[in-house]
Amino acid sequence: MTSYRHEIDTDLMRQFDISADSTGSYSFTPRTRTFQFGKYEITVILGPNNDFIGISEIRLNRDFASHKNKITPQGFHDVDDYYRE
Amino acid sequence: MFYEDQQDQALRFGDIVQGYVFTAPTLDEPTIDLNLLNYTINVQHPLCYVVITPCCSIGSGTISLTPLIIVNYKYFDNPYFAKDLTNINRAMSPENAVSPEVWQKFPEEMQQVRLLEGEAYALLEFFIYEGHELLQKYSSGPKQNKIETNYYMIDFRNIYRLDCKRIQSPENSPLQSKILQLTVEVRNELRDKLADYFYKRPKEDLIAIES
Repeated sequence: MTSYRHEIDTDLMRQFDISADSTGSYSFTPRTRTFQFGKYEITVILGPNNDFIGISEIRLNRDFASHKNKITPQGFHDVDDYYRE
Repeated sequence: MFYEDQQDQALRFGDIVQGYVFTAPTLDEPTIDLNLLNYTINVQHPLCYVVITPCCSIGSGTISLTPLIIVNYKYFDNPYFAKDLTNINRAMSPENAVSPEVWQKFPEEMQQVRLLEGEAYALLEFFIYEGHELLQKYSSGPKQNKIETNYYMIDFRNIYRLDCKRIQSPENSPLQSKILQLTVEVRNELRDKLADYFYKRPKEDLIAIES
Protein backbone atom coordinates (compact mmCIF):
# COMPACT_ATOMS: atom_id res chain seq x y z
CA MET A 1 0.00 0.00 0.00
CA THR A 2 1.46 3.34 -1.00
CA SER A 3 1.04 6.32 1.25
CA TYR A 4 2.18 9.86 0.60
CA ARG A 5 2.44 11.68 3.88
CA HIS A 6 3.33 15.34 4.13
CA GLU A 7 4.83 16.62 7.31
CA ILE A 8 2.34 19.15 8.49
CA ASP A 9 3.80 22.47 7.41
CA THR A 10 4.90 24.22 10.60
CA ASP A 11 4.78 27.63 8.83
CA LEU A 12 1.23 26.83 7.88
CA MET A 13 0.46 25.91 11.45
CA ARG A 14 2.04 29.08 12.78
CA GLN A 15 -0.68 31.05 11.02
CA PHE A 16 -3.01 29.97 13.75
CA ASP A 17 -0.87 31.39 16.52
CA ILE A 18 -1.57 35.05 17.07
CA SER A 19 1.67 37.00 17.80
CA ALA A 20 2.55 38.08 21.31
CA ASP A 21 1.78 41.75 20.69
CA SER A 22 -1.92 41.08 20.31
CA THR A 23 -4.27 41.85 23.16
CA GLY A 24 -5.06 38.21 23.63
CA SER A 25 -3.94 34.94 22.27
CA TYR A 26 -5.84 32.47 20.23
CA SER A 27 -4.76 29.26 18.66
CA PHE A 28 -6.54 26.15 17.63
CA THR A 29 -5.58 22.62 16.72
CA PRO A 30 -6.35 22.02 13.07
CA ARG A 31 -8.77 19.24 12.41
CA THR A 32 -8.31 16.60 9.81
CA ARG A 33 -10.93 14.72 7.87
CA THR A 34 -10.56 11.81 5.49
CA PHE A 35 -12.48 11.60 2.20
CA GLN A 36 -12.90 8.84 -0.36
CA PHE A 37 -11.79 9.88 -3.84
CA GLY A 38 -11.95 7.01 -6.32
CA LYS A 39 -9.51 4.42 -5.04
CA TYR A 40 -7.73 6.93 -2.79
CA GLU A 41 -8.29 8.22 0.71
CA ILE A 42 -7.34 11.87 1.12
CA THR A 43 -6.84 13.44 4.54
CA VAL A 44 -7.37 17.18 4.47
CA ILE A 45 -6.62 19.79 7.11
CA LEU A 46 -9.53 22.02 7.99
CA GLY A 47 -9.54 25.42 9.63
CA PRO A 48 -11.88 26.66 12.39
CA ASN A 49 -14.60 27.41 9.83
CA ASN A 50 -14.14 24.10 8.02
CA ASP A 51 -12.14 25.95 5.43
CA PHE A 52 -9.58 24.00 3.46
CA ILE A 53 -6.03 24.52 4.66
CA GLY A 54 -4.09 21.71 3.03
CA ILE A 55 -3.66 18.01 2.44
CA SER A 56 -1.83 15.97 5.01
CA GLU A 57 -1.98 12.48 3.46
CA ILE A 58 -3.00 10.58 0.34
CA ARG A 59 -3.13 6.82 0.40
CA LEU A 60 -4.67 3.90 -1.46
CA ASN A 61 -7.89 2.59 0.03
CA ARG A 62 -7.13 -1.04 0.89
CA ASP A 63 -10.88 -1.70 1.02
CA PHE A 64 -11.40 -0.19 -2.43
CA ALA A 65 -12.12 -3.52 -4.09
CA SER A 66 -14.78 -4.51 -1.57
CA HIS A 67 -16.33 -1.01 -1.62
CA LYS A 68 -16.43 -0.99 -5.44
CA ASN A 69 -17.68 -4.54 -5.33
CA LYS A 70 -20.62 -3.41 -3.22
CA ILE A 71 -21.68 -0.53 -5.44
CA THR A 72 -20.94 -1.81 -8.97
CA PRO A 73 -24.21 -2.82 -10.63
CA GLN A 74 -24.22 -6.47 -11.72
CA GLY A 75 -26.72 -6.10 -14.54
CA PHE A 76 -29.29 -8.41 -12.94
CA HIS A 77 -31.21 -8.76 -9.64
CA ASP A 78 -29.49 -11.29 -7.41
CA VAL A 79 -32.54 -12.85 -5.76
CA ASP A 80 -32.13 -16.63 -6.23
CA ASP A 81 -31.61 -17.15 -2.48
CA TYR A 82 -35.14 -15.88 -1.77
CA TYR A 83 -36.73 -18.59 -3.91
CA ARG A 84 -34.92 -21.70 -2.67
CA GLU A 85 -37.32 -24.65 -2.49
CA MET B 1 -50.57 -13.70 -26.82
CA PHE B 2 -47.95 -16.29 -25.88
CA TYR B 3 -48.43 -19.02 -28.50
CA GLU B 4 -49.24 -18.70 -32.19
CA ASP B 5 -52.66 -19.93 -33.27
CA GLN B 6 -51.26 -20.89 -36.66
CA GLN B 7 -47.92 -22.67 -36.52
CA ASP B 8 -45.26 -22.47 -39.22
CA GLN B 9 -44.41 -25.67 -41.05
CA ALA B 10 -40.91 -25.49 -39.70
CA LEU B 11 -39.05 -25.95 -36.43
CA ARG B 12 -38.39 -22.61 -34.76
CA PHE B 13 -36.32 -21.31 -31.86
CA GLY B 14 -38.50 -21.52 -28.73
CA ASP B 15 -40.86 -24.24 -30.08
CA ILE B 16 -42.17 -26.83 -27.63
CA VAL B 17 -41.51 -30.29 -29.06
CA GLN B 18 -42.03 -33.88 -27.93
CA GLY B 19 -40.57 -37.29 -28.50
CA TYR B 20 -36.88 -36.71 -27.91
CA VAL B 21 -34.54 -37.78 -25.10
CA PHE B 22 -32.52 -35.84 -22.54
CA THR B 23 -29.05 -36.95 -21.50
CA ALA B 24 -26.76 -35.55 -18.83
CA PRO B 25 -23.33 -37.18 -18.45
CA THR B 26 -22.06 -37.21 -14.87
CA LEU B 27 -18.36 -37.33 -14.10
CA ASP B 28 -16.68 -37.96 -10.71
CA GLU B 29 -13.48 -36.16 -11.65
CA PRO B 30 -12.08 -34.88 -14.94
CA THR B 31 -8.93 -36.75 -15.97
CA ILE B 32 -6.85 -37.29 -19.10
CA ASP B 33 -6.11 -40.89 -18.03
CA LEU B 34 -8.83 -42.95 -19.74
CA ASN B 35 -8.27 -45.81 -17.29
CA LEU B 36 -9.38 -43.56 -14.47
CA LEU B 37 -12.32 -41.97 -16.31
CA ASN B 38 -15.45 -42.74 -14.29
CA TYR B 39 -18.72 -41.45 -15.68
CA THR B 40 -22.40 -42.28 -16.02
CA ILE B 41 -24.84 -41.20 -18.68
CA ASN B 42 -28.42 -40.73 -17.55
CA VAL B 43 -31.10 -40.82 -20.20
CA GLN B 44 -34.45 -39.27 -19.35
CA HIS B 45 -37.73 -38.87 -21.22
CA PRO B 46 -39.32 -35.60 -20.17
CA LEU B 47 -42.69 -34.92 -21.70
CA CYS B 48 -41.64 -31.80 -23.58
CA TYR B 49 -38.57 -29.89 -24.69
CA VAL B 50 -37.82 -26.43 -26.03
CA VAL B 51 -35.78 -25.79 -29.18
CA ILE B 52 -32.84 -23.54 -28.34
CA THR B 53 -31.00 -23.60 -31.68
CA PRO B 54 -31.48 -20.27 -33.48
CA CYS B 55 -33.85 -20.86 -36.41
CA CYS B 56 -31.26 -20.38 -39.18
CA SER B 57 -28.90 -22.90 -37.53
CA ILE B 58 -31.41 -25.76 -37.27
CA GLY B 59 -30.16 -28.58 -39.49
CA SER B 60 -27.17 -30.78 -40.34
CA GLY B 61 -28.59 -33.57 -38.20
CA THR B 62 -28.24 -31.71 -34.90
CA ILE B 63 -30.32 -29.53 -32.60
CA SER B 64 -29.99 -27.89 -29.16
CA LEU B 65 -32.81 -28.59 -26.73
CA THR B 66 -33.65 -28.06 -23.08
CA PRO B 67 -36.34 -29.95 -21.18
CA LEU B 68 -39.51 -28.22 -20.00
CA ILE B 69 -39.53 -28.41 -16.18
CA ILE B 70 -42.08 -27.63 -13.51
CA VAL B 71 -42.16 -24.12 -12.08
CA ASN B 72 -40.55 -23.39 -8.70
CA TYR B 73 -43.59 -23.03 -6.38
CA LYS B 74 -41.75 -20.33 -4.38
CA TYR B 75 -42.26 -17.90 -7.26
CA PHE B 76 -45.92 -17.68 -6.25
CA ASP B 77 -44.88 -16.08 -2.93
CA ASN B 78 -44.09 -12.92 -4.89
CA PRO B 79 -47.38 -11.18 -5.84
CA TYR B 80 -45.72 -9.64 -8.92
CA PHE B 81 -44.94 -13.14 -10.20
CA ALA B 82 -48.18 -14.70 -8.93
CA LYS B 83 -50.32 -12.28 -10.99
CA ASP B 84 -48.36 -13.15 -14.16
CA LEU B 85 -45.54 -15.66 -14.00
CA THR B 86 -44.27 -14.52 -17.39
CA ASN B 87 -43.12 -11.29 -15.69
CA ILE B 88 -40.04 -13.38 -14.87
CA ASN B 89 -39.20 -13.33 -18.59
CA ARG B 90 -38.78 -9.55 -18.66
CA ALA B 91 -36.66 -6.93 -16.91
CA MET B 92 -38.22 -5.57 -13.72
CA SER B 93 -37.62 -3.07 -10.95
CA PRO B 94 -35.61 -4.22 -7.90
CA GLU B 95 -38.69 -3.97 -5.65
CA ASN B 96 -40.64 -6.35 -7.87
CA ALA B 97 -37.86 -8.95 -7.95
CA VAL B 98 -38.77 -10.09 -4.41
CA SER B 99 -41.97 -10.07 -2.36
CA PRO B 100 -42.79 -6.79 -0.51
CA GLU B 101 -42.11 -8.55 2.84
CA VAL B 102 -38.60 -9.50 1.74
CA TRP B 103 -37.93 -6.00 0.33
CA GLN B 104 -39.01 -4.31 3.59
CA LYS B 105 -36.58 -6.47 5.56
CA PHE B 106 -33.57 -5.37 3.49
CA PRO B 107 -31.43 -2.83 5.39
CA GLU B 108 -31.58 0.60 3.76
CA GLU B 109 -28.02 0.30 2.46
CA MET B 110 -28.89 -2.94 0.67
CA GLN B 111 -32.03 -1.39 -0.80
CA GLN B 112 -29.92 1.50 -2.15
CA VAL B 113 -27.40 -0.88 -3.71
CA ARG B 114 -30.19 -2.93 -5.32
CA LEU B 115 -31.91 0.22 -6.61
CA LEU B 116 -28.70 1.03 -8.53
CA GLU B 117 -29.52 -1.93 -10.80
CA GLY B 118 -32.64 -0.23 -12.12
CA GLU B 119 -34.75 -2.34 -14.50
CA ALA B 120 -32.97 -5.69 -14.93
CA TYR B 121 -33.66 -9.42 -15.15
CA ALA B 122 -34.15 -11.58 -12.08
CA LEU B 123 -33.80 -15.39 -12.02
CA LEU B 124 -31.52 -15.10 -14.99
CA GLU B 125 -31.32 -18.84 -15.78
CA PHE B 126 -35.08 -19.30 -16.15
CA PHE B 127 -37.77 -18.58 -18.74
CA ILE B 128 -41.45 -19.23 -18.09
CA TYR B 129 -43.77 -20.97 -20.57
CA GLU B 130 -47.39 -19.96 -20.19
CA GLY B 131 -49.99 -22.62 -19.47
CA HIS B 132 -51.85 -24.14 -22.41
CA GLU B 133 -54.48 -26.88 -22.74
CA LEU B 134 -51.87 -29.05 -24.46
CA LEU B 135 -49.60 -28.84 -21.41
CA GLN B 136 -50.38 -31.21 -18.55
CA LYS B 137 -51.49 -29.74 -15.20
CA TYR B 138 -49.52 -30.65 -12.09
CA SER B 139 -49.40 -29.74 -8.42
CA SER B 140 -46.32 -28.50 -6.64
CA GLY B 141 -45.26 -27.24 -3.24
CA PRO B 142 -45.81 -28.24 0.41
CA LYS B 143 -49.06 -30.00 1.47
CA GLN B 144 -50.47 -26.95 3.26
CA ASN B 145 -49.77 -24.66 0.33
CA LYS B 146 -50.00 -26.69 -2.87
CA ILE B 147 -50.28 -24.87 -6.18
CA GLU B 148 -52.00 -26.26 -9.27
CA THR B 149 -50.73 -25.01 -12.59
CA ASN B 150 -49.86 -25.91 -16.14
CA TYR B 151 -47.19 -23.24 -16.45
CA TYR B 152 -43.74 -24.63 -17.07
CA MET B 153 -40.26 -23.19 -17.34
CA ILE B 154 -36.86 -23.91 -18.84
CA ASP B 155 -33.46 -23.68 -17.18
CA PHE B 156 -30.73 -22.45 -19.53
CA ARG B 157 -28.19 -24.56 -17.64
CA ASN B 158 -29.91 -27.70 -18.97
CA ILE B 159 -29.30 -26.90 -22.66
CA TYR B 160 -27.78 -29.87 -24.49
CA ARG B 161 -27.10 -31.09 -28.02
CA LEU B 162 -29.02 -33.93 -29.66
CA ASP B 163 -28.17 -35.57 -32.98
CA CYS B 164 -31.02 -36.68 -35.23
CA LYS B 165 -30.53 -37.33 -38.97
CA ARG B 166 -34.13 -36.29 -39.67
CA ILE B 167 -33.28 -32.68 -38.74
CA GLN B 168 -31.85 -31.29 -41.99
CA SER B 169 -33.31 -27.77 -42.00
CA PRO B 170 -36.10 -25.91 -40.16
CA GLU B 171 -38.63 -27.12 -42.78
CA ASN B 172 -37.07 -30.54 -43.35
CA SER B 173 -37.44 -31.82 -39.80
CA PRO B 174 -39.81 -34.12 -37.93
CA LEU B 175 -42.58 -31.52 -37.70
CA GLN B 176 -44.91 -34.01 -36.01
CA SER B 177 -42.77 -33.45 -32.88
CA LYS B 178 -43.77 -29.78 -32.73
CA ILE B 179 -46.73 -28.97 -30.47
CA LEU B 180 -46.55 -25.23 -29.70
CA GLN B 181 -44.86 -22.20 -31.26
CA LEU B 182 -44.11 -18.90 -29.55
CA THR B 183 -45.33 -15.62 -31.00
CA VAL B 184 -42.65 -13.36 -32.48
CA GLU B 185 -42.78 -11.07 -29.39
CA VAL B 186 -42.30 -13.90 -26.90
CA ARG B 187 -39.61 -15.49 -29.06
CA ASN B 188 -37.83 -12.12 -28.87
CA GLU B 189 -38.15 -12.13 -25.07
CA LEU B 190 -36.59 -15.60 -24.93
CA ARG B 191 -33.78 -14.54 -27.22
CA ASP B 192 -33.10 -11.40 -25.17
CA LYS B 193 -33.04 -13.20 -21.83
CA LEU B 194 -30.89 -16.06 -23.17
CA ALA B 195 -28.42 -13.54 -24.62
CA ASP B 196 -28.33 -11.70 -21.30
CA TYR B 197 -27.71 -14.98 -19.43
CA PHE B 198 -24.62 -15.70 -21.54
CA TYR B 199 -23.57 -12.04 -21.40
CA LYS B 200 -23.50 -11.97 -17.57
CA ARG B 201 -20.11 -10.73 -16.34
CA PRO B 202 -18.78 -11.27 -12.81
CA LYS B 203 -18.25 -8.14 -10.70
CA GLU B 204 -14.49 -8.59 -10.61
CA ASP B 205 -14.44 -8.42 -14.43
CA LEU B 206 -16.65 -5.31 -14.43
CA ILE B 207 -14.35 -3.58 -11.92
CA ALA B 208 -11.24 -4.61 -13.88
CA ILE B 209 -12.74 -3.31 -17.14
CA GLU B 210 -13.67 0.03 -15.53
CA SER B 211 -10.22 0.38 -14.00
